Amino acid sequence: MVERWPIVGMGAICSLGSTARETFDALCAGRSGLAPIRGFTTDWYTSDSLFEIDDRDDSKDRPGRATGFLLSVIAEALTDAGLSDDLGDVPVLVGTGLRELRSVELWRGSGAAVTPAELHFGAAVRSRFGAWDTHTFSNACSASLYALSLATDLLSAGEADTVVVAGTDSITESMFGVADRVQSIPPDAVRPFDRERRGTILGEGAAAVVLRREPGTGGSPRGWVRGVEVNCDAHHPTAPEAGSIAGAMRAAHQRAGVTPADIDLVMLHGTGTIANDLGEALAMREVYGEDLARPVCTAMKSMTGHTSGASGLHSLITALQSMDAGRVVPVPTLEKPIDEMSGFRLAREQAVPVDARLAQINAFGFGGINAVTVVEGNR
Amino acid sequence: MSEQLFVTGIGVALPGADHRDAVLDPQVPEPVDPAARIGRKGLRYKDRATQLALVAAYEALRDAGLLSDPDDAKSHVAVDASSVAVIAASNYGNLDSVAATIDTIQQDRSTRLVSPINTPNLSSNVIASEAAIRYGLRGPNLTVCNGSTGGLDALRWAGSLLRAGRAEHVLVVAVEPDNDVVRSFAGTPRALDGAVAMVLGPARDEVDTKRPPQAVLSATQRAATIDDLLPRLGVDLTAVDGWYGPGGAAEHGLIGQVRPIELGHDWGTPSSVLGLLQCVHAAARFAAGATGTLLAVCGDPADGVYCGTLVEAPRQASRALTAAGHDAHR
Amino acid sequence: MAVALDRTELIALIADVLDLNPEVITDDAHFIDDLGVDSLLALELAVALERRCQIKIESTEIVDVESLRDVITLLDRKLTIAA
Repeated sequence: MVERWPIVGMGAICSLGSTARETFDALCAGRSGLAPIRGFTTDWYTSDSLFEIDDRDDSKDRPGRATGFLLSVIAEALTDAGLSDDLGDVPVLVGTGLRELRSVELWRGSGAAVTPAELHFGAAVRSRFGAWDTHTFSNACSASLYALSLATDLLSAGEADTVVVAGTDSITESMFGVADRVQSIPPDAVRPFDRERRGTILGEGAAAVVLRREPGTGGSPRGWVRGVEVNCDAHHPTAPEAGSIAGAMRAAHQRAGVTPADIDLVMLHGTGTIANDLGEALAMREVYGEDLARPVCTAMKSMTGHTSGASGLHSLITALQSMDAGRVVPVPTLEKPIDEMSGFRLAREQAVPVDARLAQINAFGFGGINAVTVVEGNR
Repeated sequence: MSEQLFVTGIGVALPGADHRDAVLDPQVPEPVDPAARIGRKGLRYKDRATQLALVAAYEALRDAGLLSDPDDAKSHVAVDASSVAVIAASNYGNLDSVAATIDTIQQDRSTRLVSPINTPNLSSNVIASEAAIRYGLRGPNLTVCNGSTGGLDALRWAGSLLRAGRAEHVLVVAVEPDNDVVRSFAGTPRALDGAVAMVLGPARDEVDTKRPPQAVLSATQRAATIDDLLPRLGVDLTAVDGWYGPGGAAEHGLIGQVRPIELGHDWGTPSSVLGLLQCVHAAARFAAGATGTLLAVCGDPADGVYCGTLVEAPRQASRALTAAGHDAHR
Repeated sequence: MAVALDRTELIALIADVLDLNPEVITDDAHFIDDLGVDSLLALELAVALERRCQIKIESTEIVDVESLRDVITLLDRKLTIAA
């Protein structure tokens, strides 16, 4: 008997919307959150656009924004789950790529008041939700799915009945700056799996889900987590390795008790960089083999940008919404798919109707840290 | 919560202390020289925290008998690579890299002189991922940035990975660098500049007479206050022989009748290294003949939470063998 | 103001950036195939040359720079333009 863990609440925020609902509607409409840079001195950079959350007056940056996003999505997820704002001993596991390093930069650059306790999210989550079992995992772009794997382990072991899993990131000037330097011809859009893709563009956002051991007596859950696999390719600081990614996918399928032929929808990591998309496509080919035309595949970073540590849960929530609504969000920037993706059913210009029950979600990070999960919709 | 963790390897990279037993009586504290410990090759673009962590990781993996060539500090593990997980704990690890990058951008008013090779250092998971790359560790790879309790929190997740069958060995390394950025941000005259690593292995190592555990840890617990922590740990205070406090213990004094244990040397603000330092200090005491159970507690009022674990001496017979094994390969 | 380097200085700079012994930096030793340089390190070399020589190298230009000979050719062109 394969275990599955009900997802009883969810919340999301990104450049496209301040709730999970708003975000999904914008994604289905094929809208992009890309806009002129708000948080940084634009004259210093070659690139001129980012997927920021528009929450600052007169373009003045302030510390603590990643924390603010996090508190907002946790509150939304708790409300969605019908739970109170008093978490007590419920574990809160937060995955992040860049924690509050933007606050450290504002302290360094302009003397903003920032304390060490604000570098991680524990103190803020404690103060807002009364939770003391709080954990911040800085696991690059697979952070929130890594946190999800730990949450399922806690539930399996009976250490908790309810766990809040979240991911959050704001854009740091240092990461944006080095990306600006490395991608010195800045990409005008995030074009996952397109032959003309030129790199990724950072996005801001947060996402949270409430996971339980048992569904409980409330309404029906939003869906179920069927299994999460995590690994590390131990290969290169920034370059992905297809074999290790394929290994994570296979192991996730095994944990979920499914085969590639069972998967209806794949939320690709799809960052729009040359290396990620190539490695991910090769891994997908290897794993799906003759079933490659079976699932519908999509890559939402085309519209939200790369939301780093939050991106795995952003994709997971979108997958649940897609299975519920019966339509898959498009990849509006995709014009000419790379050969390595030929044969796969890629969602293109507009939302695709789908009757889906099982979805695979990919998230890969710097250092070759890969995470793949399989979720089941509530249909 | 009868779960136990077995410490099968220990690595130390602290000023004046380069192995377990030296933490009891550190030498004149010279800064750790990573190149002298593990060779210069491969350190060129690693930040200070990563370099320190690689030193402690090497020593711990070697001590646990996991390396294919114990004398080669670039050796991969000899066991199944996917069975070894890495958990790094650090709060201030890459603050220097982040600060240097924005300084460069502000001074040049452009990104032209930003170092591309510095890219991995701008993501806080660089320490765990570099340890994985260097020693070939392909299991789960986790970076805990959780404030003052980070070191002990990392032990909890190590236990979780082992219990869930996601790993058979977990390398836990806690590291902090000392530099102007850290001192200024943390508001401290001196930060600890070093790393402590432990390998936590499966219970069956307890019966492996060649490499018995050096200490046995209880499941870590967290609570809003130290008073709340004790019942969660299920601790019988009459059976505890001493405790390590979150600020070096002195200001906390007795818990019940349990005496505080001083770490005996001030390495500077330890941040996430404290928890592992406490455990290694305890293991060194056991190796020197002490017995019993010690309590380790980390946390601070700003973080608003405390984390603790019980550190037990391994069996008497095992301990003698551990000391002999340690001497033999040093 | 562009700054020219002599051959020895240039080899020393390249060896330092690529973390290699200067002896292996021959005219035609291929940075990627022979010396194990990856794309980030190649970009780092470009930035180091920019800093040291006070010139500007486009990322499109550094893509084709695969050996010491290529670096010398690139610098000759840049310094001629700058002069």
